[in-house]
Amino acid sequence: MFDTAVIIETVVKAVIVVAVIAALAGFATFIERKVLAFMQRRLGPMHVGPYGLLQLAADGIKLFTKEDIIPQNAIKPIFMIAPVIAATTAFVAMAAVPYFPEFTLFGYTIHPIISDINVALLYVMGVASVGIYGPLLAGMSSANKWSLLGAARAVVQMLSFEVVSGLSVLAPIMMIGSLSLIDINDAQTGGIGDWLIWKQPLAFVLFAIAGFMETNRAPFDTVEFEAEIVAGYATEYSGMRWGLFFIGEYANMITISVLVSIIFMGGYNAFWFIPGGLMMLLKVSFWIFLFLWVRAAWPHVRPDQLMWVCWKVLMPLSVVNIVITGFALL
Amino acid sequence: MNDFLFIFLSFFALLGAFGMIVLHQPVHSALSLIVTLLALAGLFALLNASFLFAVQIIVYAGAILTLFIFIIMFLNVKESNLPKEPNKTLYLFLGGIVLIPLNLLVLRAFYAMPLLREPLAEDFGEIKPLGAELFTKWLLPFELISLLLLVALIGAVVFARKDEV
Repeated sequence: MFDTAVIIETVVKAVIVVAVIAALAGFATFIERKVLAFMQRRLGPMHVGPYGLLQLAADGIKLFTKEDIIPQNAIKPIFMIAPVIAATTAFVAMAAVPYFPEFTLFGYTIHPIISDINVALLYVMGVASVGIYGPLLAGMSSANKWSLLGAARAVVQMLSFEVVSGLSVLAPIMMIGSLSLIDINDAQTGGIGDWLIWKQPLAFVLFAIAGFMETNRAPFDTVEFEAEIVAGYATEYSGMRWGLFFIGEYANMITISVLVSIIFMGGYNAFWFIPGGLMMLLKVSFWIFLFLWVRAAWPHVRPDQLMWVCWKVLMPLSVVNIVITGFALL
Repeated sequence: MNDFLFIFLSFFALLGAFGMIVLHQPVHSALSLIVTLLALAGLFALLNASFLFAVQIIVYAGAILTLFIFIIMFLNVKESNLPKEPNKTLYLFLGGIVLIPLNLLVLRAFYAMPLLREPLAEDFGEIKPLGAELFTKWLLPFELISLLLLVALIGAVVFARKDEV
C-alpha cells in the first residue's frame, strides 16, 4: 500500500505546503498593515527596506528573540502546548486541499494535494474544529480572567458557527454528490456560468460569514477584542508562542479563502486565457483582501448579537436552503 | 508501514486511555481522552473507513470533548475540591480483575466473527455506499437513534428555560 516513492513525495509536498503557507502568512501580516493603512489614508510601515518590505524580517526577528514568559500560576504543560495545537491544526487541515491543477514536471505528473481523501471537506472542517483546543486550552491555563473570557467566547462562538458552516456547505454537496474537493472543482469546469455561487448564493453568503467567524476576523473578532478583553485567550502569551497563534490565524484565513474559491468560485479551472493556477492565486488573494477590507470597514458586533444572529437567523436560513435545494434536486 | 502505523496509533490510544483513568485532575483526564479519540480516528483511517475517521474527529474530538472541557472549566474545580484517593492503585487493580470476564466475552465475540477473505469492494468506506446502506437496510435503527438525540436536545432546552411567571 505504501511504497517509498509515495512517502517521499508526500513528505516533500507537506514540507513545501507548510513552508509556503507559513511564509504567506507572514507576508499577509505585512499586507494587512499596508491595506489598512491605505484605507485609513496612512502610509503604514515605511522605514525598514523599500516600502517597509523588510518590516516582515524585523518582526520575525523580534518574535523569535523575545523572552518566552510563562506566568507563575499558569498550568505549565497545557500553557506551553496550546499555541502549538493552534498552529498545527491550521496546517494539518491543508493536507486535503488541492491548490492547483495537476501539472507535469520532468515527465512526472504532480498532483498539488498532499492526500486526496474522498471526505476531504469533512476532514478540513473536522480538523478546523479540533483547532478550538488552541484558544480553549490557552485561556484555561493562563490563570487570567481576560484569557478565560476569551476562551469561553472562542468555544461558544466557534461551536455555534461550525453548525452554520456545516449546514450551509451541505447544499452544494447535495448538488455535486461528492465530498472530495477535486470533484467539487471538476464540477465547475464550464467557465464563470458554472460557478456554484450562482446556483447557491445563499449558501455562499452563509459560508463566507461562518468563515469570517471561524478565523476570528472582524467584525466577528469578539474572541480577542482589545477594548473588551485585552487580547482574549492570548493575553498572557509573548514571543514565539504568541507568534504561533498568529501564524495559525493567518493560515486558517488562507485555508478558508482556498475553500471558498474551490467550492463556490470555480476553483482552479482555467478561465478564458488565464491558466488555472494563476486563477486560484487571484481568487485567494481577492479573499484575503476582502478579509482586510471588511476589517477596515465594519465595526465589531457584541457577542450576544453574534449568537443571536447565528442561531436565529443564519442557522434557520441554512436549513431552509437545504430544503429548497432538496426540492429542486427532486 | 501499515503495521508500524497501527502500533504507533494503538500505543497512543492505550496511553491516552490509561492516562484518563490514572490522572488526578479532571481536565488532564479529558485531555488524555482526546489523545485516545484522535488515535482511534487514525485507526479508522488505516482501515479505509474514511467517513468514520472524519466523523470521529468532528463529533468526538471537535465537539463533545470541547464541551466536556468547557464545562470542567466553568465548574472551576479546585485542588481541595477533588476527592482524596488513597487506595487508587489497589482499586484500579481490583477493577481490572473484575473486568476480565467481560473482556474475554468481547474477545470471544471477536474471534467468532467470520474472517473476510475476499478483497473489499472498490468503493469501501466511501460516503455514498455508506449512506445508501444506512438509509435502506438500517433505516429504522437510524431514525430511532436520531429520535433519541432529538429527545435529549428538547429535554436540554426545556431544562434550560427560565420559568415564566
